[in-house]
Amino acid sequence: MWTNRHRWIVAGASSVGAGISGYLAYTKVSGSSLLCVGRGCEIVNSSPFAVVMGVPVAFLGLGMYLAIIFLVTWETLLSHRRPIGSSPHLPPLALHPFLLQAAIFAMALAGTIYSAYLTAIELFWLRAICSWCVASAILVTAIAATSAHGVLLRASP
Amino acid sequence: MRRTLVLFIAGAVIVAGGLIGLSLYSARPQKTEVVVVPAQGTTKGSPTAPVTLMEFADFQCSHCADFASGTLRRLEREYVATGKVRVVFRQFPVLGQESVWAAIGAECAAKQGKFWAFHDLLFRVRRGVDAGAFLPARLLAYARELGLDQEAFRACLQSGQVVEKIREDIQEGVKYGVEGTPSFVIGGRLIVGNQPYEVFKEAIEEALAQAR
Repeated sequence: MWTNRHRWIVAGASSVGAGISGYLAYTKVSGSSLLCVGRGCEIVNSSPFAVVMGVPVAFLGLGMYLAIIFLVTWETLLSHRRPIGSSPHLPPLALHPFLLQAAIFAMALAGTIYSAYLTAIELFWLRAICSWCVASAILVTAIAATSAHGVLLRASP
Repeated sequence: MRRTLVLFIAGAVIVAGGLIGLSLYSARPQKTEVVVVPAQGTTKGSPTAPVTLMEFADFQCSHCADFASGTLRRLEREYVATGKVRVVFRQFPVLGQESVWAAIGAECAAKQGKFWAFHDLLFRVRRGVDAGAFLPARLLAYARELGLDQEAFRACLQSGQVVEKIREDIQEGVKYGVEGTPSFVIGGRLIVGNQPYEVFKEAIEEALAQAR
C-alpha cells in the first residue's frame, strides 16, 4: 500500500528526472553546449544511441517522467477521496489507485531496463560516461524501487 | 491483483525490449551516399571554386564526426559537386594525445592521396577521447584497410614530417579565432560548432554573392 512517503519520493524523483530530460532535450534540439563533468556527455549525446528512430532519447525520458508525474498526481487525488458511503464494499473506482501504482511501477521498470542498456553501451561501447544520463538512471531506478515496494505490499495476500 | 501486477511487469519488459531493439536498429551503420568530387590532399572540390570552406576539426570530436556524416555530405551534393565551394580540412587536434596521432595519420594518408578516405574511416571508428581508437598500431591497421603503402605510412608516422603542417593548421585556426572544434571559416566569417545546414547555406550564399 502506497504511503505519502512513496508518493513524495516518486513525485520528487520524477520531477528532477523531467528537469534533467528537459535540459538534455533542449540541448539536443538547440545544438547548444551541454554542461558536463568531463567530456563524456558530448560523446554520449552525439552517438547514434542517443536517438531512437529519429526521436532523441531525451524526449522519451521526458515523456516517461511527465507521465509518471501525471499518474502519481492522479493516484494521490484518488487515494485521498472519501469512500462513497460507509459500506466496506467500496465501488470498483477504489481499485484505480492500485492500477495507477502498478502502471507507474511498470513504466519505471521499463525505464530502468532501458537505462541499464544505455549505461552498458556507455561503459563498453562508447567508453564515455554522461553524468546526466547516470543521474536519470539512478532516479528512474529509485522510482521503480519505491513504487515496487508499495505495490508489492499491496499485492501481498 | 497479483495477476494484474504480473501483466504490468510483462508489459514493461516487452516495452523495454522493444525500445532496445529499435535503438540497436537505429544505431546500425548507415550506407553513405557517394558523391564524386575532385580531391587533392586535404582539399575537396574544384580548385577554381569561388568560395572556400575551411574546416578546423579534431578526429576525436563527436560534433566534427556529426558534421562529416551529415552536413558535409549535403554540402558536397549541393555546392562542392557543382563547383561552387571548395572544402579544405585543417587539423586542430585539441582533445587529447590520440587527436594528435589521428591528425598525423590523416596527413600521412594525404601524402598517398587517401586523405578523405582516411578522414571518413577515422570519424566512423571514433569511440571517445583517448579511448584507444587512434593509437599508432590502429592507424597502421586503418592504412592497411585502405590499401596504403604500409612502409611509407609507417615511416611517415615515425618521422614526424607532417607535424609542421599540423602546427601551421593550428596557427591558421588561432589566427581566425578558432578555439574549439568543429569551427569553419567561409568567406572570412567564422562559424563555430556543427550548426544546422541552413547556417552554412546562408554563409555560402553570402560569400558567393560577394564573389560575383
